[in-house]
Amino acid sequence: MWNGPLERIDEFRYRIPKTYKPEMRVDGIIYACDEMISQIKADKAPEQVANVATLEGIVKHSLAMPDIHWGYGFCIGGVAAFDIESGGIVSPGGVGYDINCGVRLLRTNFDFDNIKSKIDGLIQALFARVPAGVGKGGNLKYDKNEMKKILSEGVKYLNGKGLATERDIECCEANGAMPEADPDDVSQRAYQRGRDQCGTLGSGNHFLEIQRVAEIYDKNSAQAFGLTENQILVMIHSGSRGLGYQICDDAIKMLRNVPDKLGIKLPDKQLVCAPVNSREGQKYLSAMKCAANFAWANRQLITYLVRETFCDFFGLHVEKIGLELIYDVAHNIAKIEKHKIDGTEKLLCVHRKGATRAFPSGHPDIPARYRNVGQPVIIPGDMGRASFILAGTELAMKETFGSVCHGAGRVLSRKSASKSASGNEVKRQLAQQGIIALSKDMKGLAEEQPAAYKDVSIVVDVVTGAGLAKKVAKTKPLAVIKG
Amino acid sequence: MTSCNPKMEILEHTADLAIRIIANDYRELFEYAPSALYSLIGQIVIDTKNDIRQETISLQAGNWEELFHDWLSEILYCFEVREIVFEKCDFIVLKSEHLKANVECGKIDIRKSKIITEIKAVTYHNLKIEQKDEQIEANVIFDV
Repeated sequence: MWNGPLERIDEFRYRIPKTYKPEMRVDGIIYACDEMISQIKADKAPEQVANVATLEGIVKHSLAMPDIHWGYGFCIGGVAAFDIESGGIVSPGGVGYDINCGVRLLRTNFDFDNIKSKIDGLIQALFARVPAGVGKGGNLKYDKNEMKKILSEGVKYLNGKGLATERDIECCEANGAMPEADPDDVSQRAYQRGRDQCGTLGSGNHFLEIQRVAEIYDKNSAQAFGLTENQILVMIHSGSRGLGYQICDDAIKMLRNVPDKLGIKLPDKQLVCAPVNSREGQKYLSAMKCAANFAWANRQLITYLVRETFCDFFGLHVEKIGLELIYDVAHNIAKIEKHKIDGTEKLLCVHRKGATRAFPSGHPDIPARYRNVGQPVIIPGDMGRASFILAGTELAMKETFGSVCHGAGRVLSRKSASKSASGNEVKRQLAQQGIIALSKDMKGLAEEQPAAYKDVSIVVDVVTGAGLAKKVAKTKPLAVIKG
Repeated sequence: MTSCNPKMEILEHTADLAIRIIANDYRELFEYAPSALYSLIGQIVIDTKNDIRQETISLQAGNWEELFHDWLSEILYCFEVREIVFEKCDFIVLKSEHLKANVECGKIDIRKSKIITEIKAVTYHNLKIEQKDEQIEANVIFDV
């Protein structure tokens, strides 16, 4: 139980005043509603918001989204930006081990009513084709030279191989490849851990889900995103797999003596950091970008497998099916972005750890096809309730460096979830709701059960109520493959 | 695998996997680390057709916590990439800033093993090794 000060600012905002700790440079702001507060104070996440507020160069506030929960270093749902010119830092703990863990959404030309009898067969076919589960390697193996290309060029490299379309590039955050990613900044161990994992879901909370559009809130934006009522969608959630974990681990090891060297006092070892403009900071950022590009390529290869499976299953050409990428967003990443601070444009290192970029209409970094409505923001819920598609707003640029939540956020530990219901029980409960759940790991299914998560509708109501995003559509799960 | 008497308990953590190990001394703690980690990962079966391999592992760190972190990370890397487990560890040097161990390694039989938890990494968050009464208590959080 956290007993620090949490002041209610309004219906959706709470403050941890910087007077809470002498080392805090700015206030902490948590986006939440009244009913979330007791749960938020139940673990150490608010302390982590306060800890981040002590880091060098932080501007405005140390932020947390309503899906906030206890992480390591930064909380999950944490957003913080650091002024590069003023010695602002980059911290691997502000990104996480699963660098560019993220989510993408594909639209189809299918209506649920027309294919509902085929959902079972379709998910079984996907389960057979898409590698998923603990440590699962894929059939696509790349030698080191090809891996280097993936690390530096991301989805663009796959486009050259016929595994990605021009639209796939256009509709990825950062066009599926962050520039200045030098594969020589990646360790041999990281290459080894990632070598056969590009094109695999992984385990934990990663998933592939067939969904239907259950409700449309904003017809104009939905039309721009290509969404219609009852349409079938595919959502993919995965990250940079072993390669990313190792890059983060290598970076923390490289940086663990830097704070002492620079006289930086840290409240948590996991917050090790270096100024962005330092040799160590640049080396981490370069390696992190490699992992980010690998993650985009990973989700792209899964997309390729999904398209192949749909084509084989329905005996149709992909143009008939659709499966165009609506958007792909990172939710564990550090980006160098320009934002206005007190009326002056500053170059910031924005950390989003369990948080999604949500840029508004008119922003040059979002695809031209969405520029009139704002960036699609994909918020996966749990496998029993719902997911949401939002669009970014101008207010998010002013308050949160153009960021919102990334999902529902956990409320139960894996241990408590497993005690609450077994994997088989979860599978049966979901089946009663008409949802097919497949997993090679029943323990994983138990750990990821809907009760382990906050209700995503309430989380989304907070970010939309606060004006950080607008609701475009709600989707309902039909069939899910848990990693 | 190495047999000794330390105890491990799994602690509550919202998103990740937190453990506490209590051992009589540092040597016992470090000896126990491989089997503790393997028990979290799943049921691992050794391929008896492969010969036991001897390796020497040497690690340098700033303190006991960092050294324990690096030792666990080494075990994890060898498990995941090289598909080997440490069956017996003989510590030639074990000081707060240096570890040197002769390790007997067994090859994992992947088909017969049941892997249930993917451990992404050993974190530094709340990583603590403390002397409590006559024992050593280590708290570690894994990213899973």
